[in-house]
Amino acid sequence: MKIKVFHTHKKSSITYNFVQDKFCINPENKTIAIADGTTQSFRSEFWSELLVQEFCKHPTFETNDFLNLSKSLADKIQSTSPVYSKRSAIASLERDKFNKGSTSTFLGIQFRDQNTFDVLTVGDCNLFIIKKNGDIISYPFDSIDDLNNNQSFLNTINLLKEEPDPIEISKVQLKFEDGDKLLLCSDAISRLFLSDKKWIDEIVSLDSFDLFIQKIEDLWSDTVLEEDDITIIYMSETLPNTLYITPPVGFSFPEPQPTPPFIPLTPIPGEDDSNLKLTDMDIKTIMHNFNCIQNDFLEIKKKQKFHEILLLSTVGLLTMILLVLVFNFSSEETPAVNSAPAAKTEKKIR
Amino acid sequence: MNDLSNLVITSTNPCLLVYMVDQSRSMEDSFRNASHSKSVEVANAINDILYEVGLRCFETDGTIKNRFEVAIIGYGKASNSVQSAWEGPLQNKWVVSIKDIFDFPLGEENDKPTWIRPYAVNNTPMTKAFENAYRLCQDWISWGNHKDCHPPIIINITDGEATDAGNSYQPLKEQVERLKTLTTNFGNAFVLNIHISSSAGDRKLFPNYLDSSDKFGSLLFNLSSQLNENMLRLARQEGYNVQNGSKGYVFNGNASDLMKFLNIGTPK
Repeated sequence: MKIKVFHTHKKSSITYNFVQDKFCINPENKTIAIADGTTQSFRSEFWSELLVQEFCKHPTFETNDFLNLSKSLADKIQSTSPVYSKRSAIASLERDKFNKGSTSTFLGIQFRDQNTFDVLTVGDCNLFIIKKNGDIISYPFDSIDDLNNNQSFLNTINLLKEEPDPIEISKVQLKFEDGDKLLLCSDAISRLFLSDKKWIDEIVSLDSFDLFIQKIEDLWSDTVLEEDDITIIYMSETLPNTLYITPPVGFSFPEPQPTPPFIPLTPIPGEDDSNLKLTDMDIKTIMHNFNCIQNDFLEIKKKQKFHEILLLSTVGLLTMILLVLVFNFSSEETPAVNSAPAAKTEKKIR
Repeated sequence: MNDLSNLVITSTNPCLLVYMVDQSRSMEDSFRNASHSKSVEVANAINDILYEVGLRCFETDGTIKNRFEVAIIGYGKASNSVQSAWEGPLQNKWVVSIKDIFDFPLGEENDKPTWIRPYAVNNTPMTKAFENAYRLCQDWISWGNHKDCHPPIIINITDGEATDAGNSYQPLKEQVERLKTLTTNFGNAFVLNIHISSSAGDRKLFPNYLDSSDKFGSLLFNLSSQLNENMLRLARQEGYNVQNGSKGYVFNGNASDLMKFLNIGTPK
């Protein structure tokens, strides 16, 4: 089977460095894994990356072995000493997040033979088999509600507890026939595919990152697709070769333009003159707004200069055209002026 | 009107949270059986919810996204007075973005930042506080692209009766109803009330109806908005038995109810 990987980060991450969905394909032991690090947890991209890499090196479909593997990886994550921010309020958030651990969902498969593969999942990643006749089998979730109701995940702190809170692990051995296609998907795109299977063909048929991201952005802006990292690993015999459709170097989403800080317009009852005193924060806001205005002003000046140059060039060009026209006109007119008396002369001669 | 369940709160489409805190003298009384006062409990809960909002907006790259803007309106600190409850560097600000909130904490307790202090001083000018909330919300909705944002959520925490609403409470009713008519393209502003009454009585958590002898409690229940789909889901996750039609109202809640109530009122 050939593989086509679609992978991108959500808009709010801006750059691909912060993508929290991770995947790994290990052709040697025919193992593929995807993991979706949760946005809210501490540096979950490291956790999800570690999970897929290590699973692909040491695939296991025994619940205890998988939990032991996850536990040893969680220990690695939690034994690091993160460098916290020097700003105390931010540092407290970082500490809190670190102490609550990193969280990720997971889906791993390993091909046993030509037509059989093992599956192990934790959380809301999903697998789809598209049968030759167009029927779709999905695992472990058949509906968006089932997927949404699943709250299971791998959390580093929970895994390191003496008695971890229950972790729901789904396992199955599935069969597929020649001509069937397989898809491994993270949660947001799984929801889209479960909502309407027409989206599967529309997306997996795309062959470039430009087309893929355009489609995804359209679906995001139409709120058909939840704005999240996207991972699709599509496997089919009919693919010409293995293709990675991932963001090119330097690709980033534009930084959102925040609205200017809100200032109440109408007088608020209870306000007194002390409100007119400027605090450090007011000064910071004013400076920020002033800088924005200054930048806008410089931008306008630049544009104005450009317009001036453009105008001067246009005027110069028009003058040149006019001169050329006048010159042509006068050079065409000169023989006519000369020929008239000549003609008259001729007449006179006759 | 757009469907609120499709809305994602982002730094370009933030949500305004308005916490209204009763700072009247009666807030000095003990909170249920606790050794500390109601005002201390409420200040702790507000500091905790601000921290919780910060956690929700804290990104993996170490930045806080401005998904929420927060107003804390204190009423009763001085006679018939309503003022912003922010202190320190944020003093005199009415609405502060979550990023600025974490840039300018007032202090620190148990390794966590704090922003507001407890006060229990004077009377209860609740009508004036709601009028204040109305003006803030109206201006906020008219600002920039805020029409395309989540409607403001106003959470009022009180222990007693308004002292500026007369016997019929008509002025208060009018102010709250007026506040609830404010809309963005995603619906009306939400008004939620938590009533930590001094009178004895059973806890009433997000009820559909209220059969209470407490006249003012009934009024606050009637004035509270119904929980939306998202709030219902959060309430169920917190273990409350809520149905469609349940109102954003809690009577005689304990400390845990207070914190959970604030959590349910704060969209994720």
